[in-house]
Amino acid sequence: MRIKFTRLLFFLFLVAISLRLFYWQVIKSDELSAWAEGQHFQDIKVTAQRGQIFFSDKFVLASTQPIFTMFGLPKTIKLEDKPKIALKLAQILTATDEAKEELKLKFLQQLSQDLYWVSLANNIDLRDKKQIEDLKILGLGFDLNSSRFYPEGSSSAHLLGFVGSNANGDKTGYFGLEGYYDGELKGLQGFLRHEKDALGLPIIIGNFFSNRAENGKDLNLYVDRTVQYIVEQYLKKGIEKYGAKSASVVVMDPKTGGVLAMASYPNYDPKNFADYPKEFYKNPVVAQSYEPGSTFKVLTMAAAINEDAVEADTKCNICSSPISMGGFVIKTWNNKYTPNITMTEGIIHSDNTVMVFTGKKLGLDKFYSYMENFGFGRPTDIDLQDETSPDLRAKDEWREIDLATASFGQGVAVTPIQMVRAVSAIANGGLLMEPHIVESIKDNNNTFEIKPKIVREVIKKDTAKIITEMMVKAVDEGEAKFAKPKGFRIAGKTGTAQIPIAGRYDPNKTIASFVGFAPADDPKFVMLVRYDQPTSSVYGSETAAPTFFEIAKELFTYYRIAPTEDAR
Amino acid sequence: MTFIKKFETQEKKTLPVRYIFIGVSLIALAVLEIWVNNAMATFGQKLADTESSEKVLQLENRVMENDIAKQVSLGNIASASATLGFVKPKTIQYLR
Repeated sequence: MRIKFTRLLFFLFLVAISLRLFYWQVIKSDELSAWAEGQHFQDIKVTAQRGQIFFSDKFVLASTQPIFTMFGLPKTIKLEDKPKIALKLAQILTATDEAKEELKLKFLQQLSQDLYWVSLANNIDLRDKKQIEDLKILGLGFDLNSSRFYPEGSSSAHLLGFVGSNANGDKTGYFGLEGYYDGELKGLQGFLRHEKDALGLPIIIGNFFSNRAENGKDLNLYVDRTVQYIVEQYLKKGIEKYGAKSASVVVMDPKTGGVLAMASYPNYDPKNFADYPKEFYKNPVVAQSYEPGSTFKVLTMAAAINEDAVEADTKCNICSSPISMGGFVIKTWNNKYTPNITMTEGIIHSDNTVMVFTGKKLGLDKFYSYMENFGFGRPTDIDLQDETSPDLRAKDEWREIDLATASFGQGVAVTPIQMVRAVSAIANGGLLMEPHIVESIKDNNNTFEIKPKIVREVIKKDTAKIITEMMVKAVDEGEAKFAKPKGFRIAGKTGTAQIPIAGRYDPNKTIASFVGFAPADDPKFVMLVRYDQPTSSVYGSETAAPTFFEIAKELFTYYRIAPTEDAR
Repeated sequence: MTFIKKFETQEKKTLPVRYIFIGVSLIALAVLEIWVNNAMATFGQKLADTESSEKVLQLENRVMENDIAKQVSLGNIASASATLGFVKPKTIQYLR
């Protein structure tokens, strides 16, 4: 009996143990495996470094800087040590006594919390981190992050855009190059998984899985650091001198479409973009439209000459007085009229009546077609995120007065990049180029060049030569002749466009602009200068033109362009 | 009847040499493996230290590159040159 009882007892023990083993080895198997794996393996995210952006001369425009977030482990720090630690940290991280005291109190407050982990400070640089680590304080640690670094400060802000955080907290580029090339710049995060021992050290012969991080690609720009600096200096001076609300300059290589410089004011600091109004983020050169005014005349004339509708010495037989049309009266800017004025003289003196004549000779169909061929009405496909384009009104909505006013650049809206690209087609013999900021994209192994792209031939080479000569004469004999640098052949045109406000044009508010290229016979650059509502003078010849010539003088020296002999 | 078992000296059974060799080799390999594992156990520390040093050097390198970029920025050069007394030339002479 006792033997049977003992046997039963052993059997019950066996069943109990089996059931327990079944519980731990089958039912809890997944949970315990995961737990063991967590103890045996260490997962490390390997962050990819954002790509750098370089000027054409290989100087850095945007780079990344390592920064650290400092955290504390309050439960591991002795209570009596906390005030000393807070003071030491404050002494390293601030300069003034007042700020030191404030920071010390903040650290003490954080470390006094009943938590395992607290964040103490952000954006700590490497030097401060080393100083803190040298104090060998237990209970402090650092997480590595990175932030964008701009050695040239707020230069090229509109060109660059900025790097912020998206809804998931990931670093993302917005506007400009950072936005357009965000995918190439951000790279791919990697991860590393290895077996670790009890001390948390990697086991060499253990299991090891890795996916290498791919750092972001670098961008090499067409933008020239020196040209960009010159443009920004003179634009800043100009906006103050002429009392303008805002201003922009864009400089382009007419042969490649490469943008050599682009600047607008007011601008912002891309490192501290949140401190500026959101309206400042958009690049006015590619995102803001305006009526080009008289600068558009060279394009109307180019179209008419290309179509043999007029020639350079064709005389206007309706230009001896203001032109009445559709209930409107079209006058010249200075109310002076020259009977039988030639097309060339019309460009020199910026005569609106000559343009009405030219537009009529060309006809709406051809005029509209040339507007489209010059690239208006659609984006230029420049590699900046914020580009927009005003639409061209449908051709069947145009009346006679619309053709007349459009021929001298009123009643049509363009962006500065569209305007400078169209004029560059005159500078390079008739070819419309696709504008580009980036020349090549470089990763660890390869460099991908973005080749210059010819969109189409808009006008013939001969037409381009004729218009170039007209523009040279406009500079030499027009209203801006007094500001022109001596000895250089510069092709250009002034523009003073009234701003439409509530369906009417305000005579006191203008967009003053100047577009041109130099040297006229083998252009090295095309440039557009634009002031929005200058107050010292409303005219392009007295505001935008002098700025253009000042920048051009600097560029002649920089590019070692000597004056032409016959101009001395 | 007495059976006298014929006493035959039993030949000592010795293992063939090759078995001895295999046995010794296996033992040696086992000892070697234990020794290697033991030696490698501390390599994890060295690897972690090397990786950490590499990371720190890379960060320092990037900080230095950025410092250099800041020093050679045109804004810095312009203000340094003004401090040193450099001025823009008023006229440029072209020699042919």
